[in-house]
Amino acid sequence: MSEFLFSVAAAGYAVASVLWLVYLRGRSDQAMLRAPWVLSVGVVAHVAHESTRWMAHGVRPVDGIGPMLSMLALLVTATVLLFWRIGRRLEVVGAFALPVAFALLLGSRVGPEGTASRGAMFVVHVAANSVGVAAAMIASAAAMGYLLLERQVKARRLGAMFRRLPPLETLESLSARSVLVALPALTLGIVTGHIVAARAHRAAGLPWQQLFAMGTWVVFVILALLRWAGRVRGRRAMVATLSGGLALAFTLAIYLGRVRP
Amino acid sequence: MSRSSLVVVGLSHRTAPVELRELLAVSADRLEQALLHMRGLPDVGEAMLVATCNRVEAYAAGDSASRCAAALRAFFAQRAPGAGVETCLYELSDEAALRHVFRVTASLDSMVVGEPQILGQVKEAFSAATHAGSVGPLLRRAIPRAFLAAKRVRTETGVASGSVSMASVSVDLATQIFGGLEGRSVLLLGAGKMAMGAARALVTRGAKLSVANRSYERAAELAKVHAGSAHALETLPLLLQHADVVLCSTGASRYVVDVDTVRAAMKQRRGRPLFVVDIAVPRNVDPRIHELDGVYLFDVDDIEREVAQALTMRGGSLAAAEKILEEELEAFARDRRSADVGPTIGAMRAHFRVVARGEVERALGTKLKSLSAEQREGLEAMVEGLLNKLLHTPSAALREHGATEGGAAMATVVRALFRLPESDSQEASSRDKK
Repeated sequence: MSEFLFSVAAAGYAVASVLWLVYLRGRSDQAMLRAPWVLSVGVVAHVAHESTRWMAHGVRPVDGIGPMLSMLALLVTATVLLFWRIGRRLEVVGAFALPVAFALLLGSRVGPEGTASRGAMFVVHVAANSVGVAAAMIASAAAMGYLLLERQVKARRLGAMFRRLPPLETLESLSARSVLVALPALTLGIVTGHIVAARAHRAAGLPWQQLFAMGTWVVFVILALLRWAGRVRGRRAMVATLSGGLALAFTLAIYLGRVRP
Repeated sequence: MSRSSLVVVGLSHRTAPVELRELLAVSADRLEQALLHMRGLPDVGEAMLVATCNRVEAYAAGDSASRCAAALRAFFAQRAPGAGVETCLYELSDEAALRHVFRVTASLDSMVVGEPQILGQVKEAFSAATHAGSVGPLLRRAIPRAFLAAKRVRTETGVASGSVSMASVSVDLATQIFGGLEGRSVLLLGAGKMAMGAARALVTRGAKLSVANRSYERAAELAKVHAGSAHALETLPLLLQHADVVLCSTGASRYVVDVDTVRAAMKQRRGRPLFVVDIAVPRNVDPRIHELDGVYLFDVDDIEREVAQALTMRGGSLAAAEKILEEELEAFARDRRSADVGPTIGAMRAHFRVVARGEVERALGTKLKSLSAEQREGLEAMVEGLLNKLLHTPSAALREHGATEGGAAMATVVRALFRLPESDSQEASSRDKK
């Protein structure tokens, strides 16, 4: 049953991603009429899958890198659906976020199932990182939309994307707010992760994947500081955000590879 | 009998980029001088000059369309030597020229089809040409007829309705950059009509207006209308630090907004985006500012490219507008043909009257010398009546056929038969020229 639900969720995310991209490219207005409902089916199936797995096998969404990626995918897709409810064309960032969510869901099968015996600190670590990474993904998706839209405006070739994406300032604001959500969550994740790792390795020093996580966190800290100081806005801020997102994806891949059996 | 040909020579947004159009731009204070120059050209009998941000066109009349067009081409080439203007010039004559004038005036040739400014601009050009004395019989008939056609197009079709205009596109672009316009600051540089229209549209969406102009009084006048603030143009660097949208439409022949000023302003703005619309020709804003981070400059060509897409949405209205223009062109051709035979009828009657009066006077001086004053008057009245009766049928026939295609040929035959002088209109044109 759980496998079937997972397949429905994956199919829902895949089809929704395609429909979102079709809409963004201006191919069909009809695509956006169907896409949120297809995504909703995927989200419901995903929630059902997680619940079944928890109840049947005792695997919680915070019990390891595999379940965490699945949780991340769910957070991203749920956020896109929330944007759809809010309106103001915010949901269009789904064109960039949903393929990532689909990849995260598939990636969750690569990682280990996880165990429920790591303790409260580990649970806080995974939950905080899930929220932080999901927010960073949304920030990156908004940054991607901003850069594409800005490129069209600069080139003065205003295509379908220009009319479909939210205004530049809305995208920038969404990206900035998402970074502000991501940073405290990632900070908590880093701190708790350090404690968990220190306990596990008994002062064996910082594992090298933790160095990547720290580096990614530093990128977001610098980005937030520059924003708060009001020195970086617009394209540069969006490039920095996107770089942070890519660094995060790279770090996740490293973690995923490290724990692969 | 030779007939004046209408000739159009010029360039527009369809054939030349703004860089070339601005080279030929004629400011209001130099228009009369340009008109007199054109009027003085060989083979140019009448002339008017329409110079807008989209087009610079000479409407002229002359006995030889080709020679008149060549003179106008040379006139334009002389105004921007070595710029390659010649390759962008188009020339039209007779019916094609007339159709073009009608389409331009009715705003069907504008990139923003249906925009209302062009009618006023052609009216101003016609008024200036009339004032300069460069308008003759052909333009005096053709241009008012074009105004009439334009008015019909505006009132009888939906071409002028809808939201597509310079103003609406500027608002759309600003909205796509800033999201809501509530509380945004709009800076209007100059007092051009199109920029005012865009400013008005932005203000109605909640933006705050600042107006800067070379004349502070004019700025204050405009600002008062929209509850905005007026500023001297010298404060531009400071104003640029606070504005979100800048609309430029001054009559300056150089850049009012340069790249260094904007670069300095952007440093103070801390990355806040700046949207600049430059709809002036010659351009008011250094195009290099578009390369700066967070600065988005759209000139008149960019804005109009956007609204061109609306053409397809107005297919039905356009067809109706074209039909009206065809009706008006046909009516004008009829009137012109009728007007062409009018002088012939007048000349024919005058010729007969001169002959008859000569004969009467000769008779009264010789054979009928003994007639009393009363009898003389009776004789003159009888001859006058006889003339009227004899000439009524040919005059009516000329009038009747004058409005048809064969009217001109018939008039030519009558003139040849009675050796009548050149038409009054042509005489008037030649007289004006001398």
